Amino acid sequence: MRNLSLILAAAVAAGAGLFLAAAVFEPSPAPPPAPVPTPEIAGTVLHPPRALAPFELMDHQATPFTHKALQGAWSFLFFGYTHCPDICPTTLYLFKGLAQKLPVQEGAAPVHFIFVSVDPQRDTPEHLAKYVRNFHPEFIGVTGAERAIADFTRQLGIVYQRVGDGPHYAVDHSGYVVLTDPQGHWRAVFRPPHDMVRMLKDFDTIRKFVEQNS
Amino acid sequence: MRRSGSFLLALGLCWLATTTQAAAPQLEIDMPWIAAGPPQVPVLAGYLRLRNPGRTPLQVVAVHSPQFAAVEMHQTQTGADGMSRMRRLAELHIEAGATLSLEPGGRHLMLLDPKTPLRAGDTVELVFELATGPSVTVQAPVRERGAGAGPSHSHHDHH
Repeated sequence: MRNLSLILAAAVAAGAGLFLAAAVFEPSPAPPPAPVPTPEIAGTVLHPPRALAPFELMDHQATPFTHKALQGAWSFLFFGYTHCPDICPTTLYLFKGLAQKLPVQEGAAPVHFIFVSVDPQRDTPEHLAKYVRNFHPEFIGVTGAERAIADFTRQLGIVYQRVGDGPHYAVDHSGYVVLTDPQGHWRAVFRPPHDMVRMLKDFDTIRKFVEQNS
Repeated sequence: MRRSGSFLLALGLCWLATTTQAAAPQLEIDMPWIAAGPPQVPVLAGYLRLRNPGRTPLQVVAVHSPQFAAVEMHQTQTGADGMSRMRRLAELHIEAGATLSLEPGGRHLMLLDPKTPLRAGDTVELVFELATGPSVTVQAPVRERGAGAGPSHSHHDHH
């Protein structure tokens, strides 16, 4: 009988002790929420999106092209050069298809298509203007000082390398397409080889994902 | 009697040679086309299919056009690292009975420095030099990318 009383007393004391401890000490911080799984695309979705460091380039109308130019619209960016006969026109032709097939949504942010030159030596604004307008009147060409192009491409993980000599030298370059959002933040890369139908679908997936996670 | 006999024999052999030549075309070129580009662009791409109906491999060692300063053979390679590289090819090798396709994103002709600006609807003459045998000439239409396959017949002659 006595043992039972002792056990009961000990239990009550332990319970009181726990209650007191819980009241006095801070609860341990909640574990961080599990990372949101990003949707699968032919490429990679960046979540959270990446802000870009300031850059100073020039568009095909010789007006400054800075982070402001990436705000207010979704932007598809491809990196190439006008002396490229095959892969660059092929990709810009794909952009043209996207521009024509994108559903127009009332009140939605517009979509821009931007061709950034990795060959600023030959690709002057005037040259770029003739080039991009050949694909679509609203396409944007971008060039700039060698250093500015190098910095801009580097922060987007785009690499390029001049190959050969003479007036018709080639430039090896990343074939990725970069996507930025209306805040000018880097949201995704599309991996080559590019398929227009797939890119349309992936863009829709990304837009929905951004809506659900903002 | 002997002279006319030899003459007839020679004539016969010539006839045999020409029919043999005509009956065994060296290289067939199908659906050649030049992708129209922006005005004043210094390089254009040419695409086509090379077919070797013969029993021995064929090599195209050079291509030229009276309408361009030079024509080169290139291949676009997109690696697993996402890099697009263009590599100049010394020749185009077509195995016996095989077809080699030059198409966007892969092998292509790089046509350098058009002598006059070219637009969709124009025609470009392409001359293919082979390692052995006579060259092959085709007329390739200039058309917009994605404009459609067009007629599948090819214009070519052997000489």
